[in-house]
Formats: sequence, C-alpha cells, structure tokens
Amino acid sequence: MPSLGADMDAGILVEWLVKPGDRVKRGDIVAVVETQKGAIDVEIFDDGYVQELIVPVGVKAPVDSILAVIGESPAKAAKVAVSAVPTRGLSVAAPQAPAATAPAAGAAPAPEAAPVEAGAAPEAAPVGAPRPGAADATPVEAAPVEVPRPGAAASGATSVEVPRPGAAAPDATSVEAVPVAAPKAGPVEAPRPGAAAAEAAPVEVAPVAVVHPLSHRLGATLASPRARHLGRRYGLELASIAGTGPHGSITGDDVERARGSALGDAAPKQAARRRGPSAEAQAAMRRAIAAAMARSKREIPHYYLSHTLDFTAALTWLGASNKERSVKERLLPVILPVKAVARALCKFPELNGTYEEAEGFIPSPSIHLGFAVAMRGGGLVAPALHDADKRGLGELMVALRDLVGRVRGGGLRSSELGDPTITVTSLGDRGVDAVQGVIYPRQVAIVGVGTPRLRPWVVDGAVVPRTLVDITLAADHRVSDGHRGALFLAAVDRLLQDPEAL
Amino acid sequence: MNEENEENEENEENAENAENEENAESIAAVVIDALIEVAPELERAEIEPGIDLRQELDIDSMDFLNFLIRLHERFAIEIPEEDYPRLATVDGCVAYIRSKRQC
Repeated sequence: MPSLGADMDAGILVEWLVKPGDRVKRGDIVAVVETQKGAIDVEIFDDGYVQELIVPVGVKAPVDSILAVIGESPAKAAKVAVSAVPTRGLSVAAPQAPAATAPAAGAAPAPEAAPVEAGAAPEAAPVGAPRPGAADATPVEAAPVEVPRPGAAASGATSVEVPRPGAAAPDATSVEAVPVAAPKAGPVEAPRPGAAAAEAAPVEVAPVAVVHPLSHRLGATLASPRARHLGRRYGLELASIAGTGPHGSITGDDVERARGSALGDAAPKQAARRRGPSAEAQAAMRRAIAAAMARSKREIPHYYLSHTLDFTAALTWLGASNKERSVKERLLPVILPVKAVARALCKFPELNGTYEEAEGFIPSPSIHLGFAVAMRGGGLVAPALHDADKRGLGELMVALRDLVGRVRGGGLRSSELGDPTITVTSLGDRGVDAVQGVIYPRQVAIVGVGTPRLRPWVVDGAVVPRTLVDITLAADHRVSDGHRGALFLAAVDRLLQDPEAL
Repeated sequence: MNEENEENEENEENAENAENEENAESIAAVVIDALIEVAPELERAEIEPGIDLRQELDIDSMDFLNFLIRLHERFAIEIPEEDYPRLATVDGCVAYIRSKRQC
C-alpha cells in the first residue's frame, strides 16, 4: 500500500486490475485504492509476473503493507516465493540483513502485520523467519506491489521499509524515514517500543460497509485504464460494452459511446450516481488535511517572504503565443510561474526535498512540483508534476490540465500523490492578492501565486497600470534562511520577465 | 398551383424550424455533458441555460479550458481566446457552436 502523503495511514483496496499469472511492467496500473483523497490508481514499479494477490478487494490495508507479490516468472516460482518468504509475518526482509534485526520479527509475530518491503533486492531473505532449504530455493525476486519513495527508488539496494503503525505519530515518521536514506547499508532499525504494540495488532480487516458497486464486475474483461476509470465513474458494467481496441479490449471511447446511448433513458439516475465525494469521504479528507497541517505548524518553523512582480511581459507573450495554439495546446497564465519556480529551484536545492526526523534535510535530485488543487466540495490535494524543470511549457500545461481534470473527475495515480518535493499553490484568476502557504510535511517549502491584477506600478519614473502578481514563499527555517529565500523569489521574478526563454 | 407551392414552402419552413430546435437541444445536451465531465459534482438541474458557468457554477479557468477542449473535440470547432466571453453560458455555447458550424 503506497503512502500517498504523510497524512495517509491506510487505504481500502477497491479493485484489482491484474490477477495471478499476469505479466506487468513498470508503470502499469494494477489496482485501485480508496483513500482520503479519493480513488487512486496504484502503479507498479517493477516488471514481472503477478504471483499472488494478498489483500482482497474491500479490505483496508495499512500504508506499507504488501498488496501483492510479483516475481520473475508467472506461476511455479510463486510457490517457492510464498513458502520461502512468509509474506504475512512481520518479517524484516533486508538485503544481507544482519541478525541484529531479528528481534523485530520475533517480538511481534503478528499474523497479519504488514511485512517489510523486499524491494528490488534479489537476495532478499526474511530475517528471523524459518528458512526451509533456503540454500537451494532459487532466490526469487519477491518485489511487492509497492511504490518506493524517490530516495528508495534511486538507491535500489536498500529499500527496506518498516511498517508504519499509526497515522502521523512521530514514531512512525522516523521509522518511515528509513527507506529514504539512500546508501545506508547498516542494520535495519527495529520498530520502537511504542510502535510495537500497534504493529502487533492485527490489521483491520473489517469489510467495508458499502460494497463497492463495481467490485463484482471485471473477470477477464480487457479494458484500458481510462475505460475502467470511466466505467467506474459512469457506473457502467465494462463486461456489457463491446470493445474496439486491441484484442477486442474496451477503450475509453467505447465507454463514452456506451454511456451516450445509456444516457437517453437513465440520465437522472446517472447524474445522481456521479455526484461528488460522499460526506464520509469529505470528512476523511478534512481529517487528513487537519493532521498534516497541524503537524506542519507544530514541527516546521516557517518563515515567510513576499514579492510583487510585474506580470505584464509574461501575459503579453502568453496572449500572442495562445493565438498560435489550438485549444488543446493553449496555455493558462499559471503555467508561467509554475515553470519559473521549477527552473529557479535548480539553483536553490535547499527548497526542494524532504525533511526527515532522523537524517534532517534530504535534497531531491528531481523537481516534482506539487500543485495544490481545490476540490469543489471542499478540501484539496497537491499531486505532482514530475520533472517540472525539464519539460517545455506546452507539455507542462497539458500535464497540469490533465492533473487538475483527474483531481476533480477521478483517476489520480499513486506516484502523483506520494512524491512532490515542493508545492505551488495558485489562487487562479478569481482569487485575492496573496497567499501565505502552510508547508506540506515533509516538504520544506511552498510557493504561493496570487491572482494577477491590474494595479499602479512605477516604470521609468512614471506611475503606469500594470498587471501585477504577488508571489510568496513559506520555507522551513531548519533548512534555509530568508536571505536565500529572497534570492529565490528574485530569480523567479527574473525568469518571468523573459517568458519566451521559459 | 401557386397555393400548393406556398404550402410546400411553409411545410419546409416548419420542418426547418423543428430541425433547428432539435439541433439546439442536442447541442445543449452535449454541452451539459461536457460540463458535468469537468465538474462531476454539478447537478443537471442546476445548469440552467442562462446561468454564468464561471461565476455561478464555480468553474475556474482550468475547468473552463478542459470544458472548451471537450467542445472542440466533439464539435470539431476551433475556439480562439477572444471568443471566450461568448461561451459564458450554456445558451451562449449553443449559439456559438451553431454559428461556427454554419460557416
């Protein structure tokens, strides 16, 4: 179960999109989980074959628990993997893990407790677990369906995750920090005493009260992720739709068509079913935001900077550029500050990364820019625009538009929620002048973009009307200081004066 | 003879009117569908033909762009930025789409 933010402690598995024996490759969407942030598509980060689905549909699984096992071969090896690796025990599987970690497993042999991620380590062996003929058992790569954090992905060898017991308990945070520490080859930290109790408790296997309306469908129906997503959204049975895609698979367009013909008589019912998040889901999101923001204000010493900049050159360029662009490629003003922030960050690594209790600040080699999107029913999420500094304006705009569309219409992916390295919050075109952001933990900075407005400004000694924007920075004073923060905002301003070069 | 002709013309005119009305209705249905895809929380009933989409239905610039892209795809029309004000309501969208399709 991937962590989709510091505030998430568990998710309900609502749908498997693969079955044992299926071949999967990195980036495939294999499952859908219901979280406080809505239904999220879970991507896989390894190539291989699905060997076992561990968490059944309808079950709530804690963050970092194993959802499924994939291996290098489809079926036979699966048995070896399953018998040699007791995935259900609290086994701390680590590459060449020293015996020192054994107590962790011995102390809390919880039957359903979340196991530790074996990750990409080929020699992954359960510590403290019986190793029946481990010597001759072919080392099977038992990489769970798990979304490694950025740091873990880079290091590969040491992706060891210790189960996280509670929600945002400080203990859990420091334990969770382990996988991000890149080349830490030493023994894995055993769970703290405080956490042990929680870990020993069996995982909540309470069936969800409301059966997901679609969990019963989908046997071997071939359908694209978009088709599945749309089917879910429209409440249509995919099995009843004729597919026109490869091998007769159902495409998104097929679903749209099926819906079009279904709408004639069922319009009111459809509309009712497509209503936004339930009151329950909204309450859960509210709690998640409350936990994250309270933690932020409790732990992060914010400092705040604000800067008014002349947005006229940027808007003039944008207007001219949009004349050449079809609707689909059209740019919104917000994309310019987004790109400028990403570009400026290259020279201010102390604003881009995460702050871990154990290690302190860990700069991120990539710039994954979280973009805060308000949900219409209340609440917000800030999914990531990956590698925002490296993408052209047009490409970035398409990505942003798609992201916002999916936040509001459904279909967010796990990797987008888990790994932003900084957040930008924009008030849009109907907001107010400025926003002083609250940093999303474990990030260390948030940039606010106010609503562009025509205001008096002095140019060459004369007061003239100009479109101005207030940009703000809230940053973690444990990591950076106001002087550097100011230089950063000045750099953003400079970049926005030459929009063509963005 | 003359009378007959007149009658025919009248019939044709009626048929044309009916066709136009039907056309407007089906365009409006597609427009509303596109809007609901962008903002699934909206109730069909609250999308009155004359209501201001952005001010009264809380459609922001990003939603609006996503909405226009759907209109662009479904009606195969190009929508330059300077025409945005004409697309402020469902009625406006329908009139705009019809004007674009006639030329």
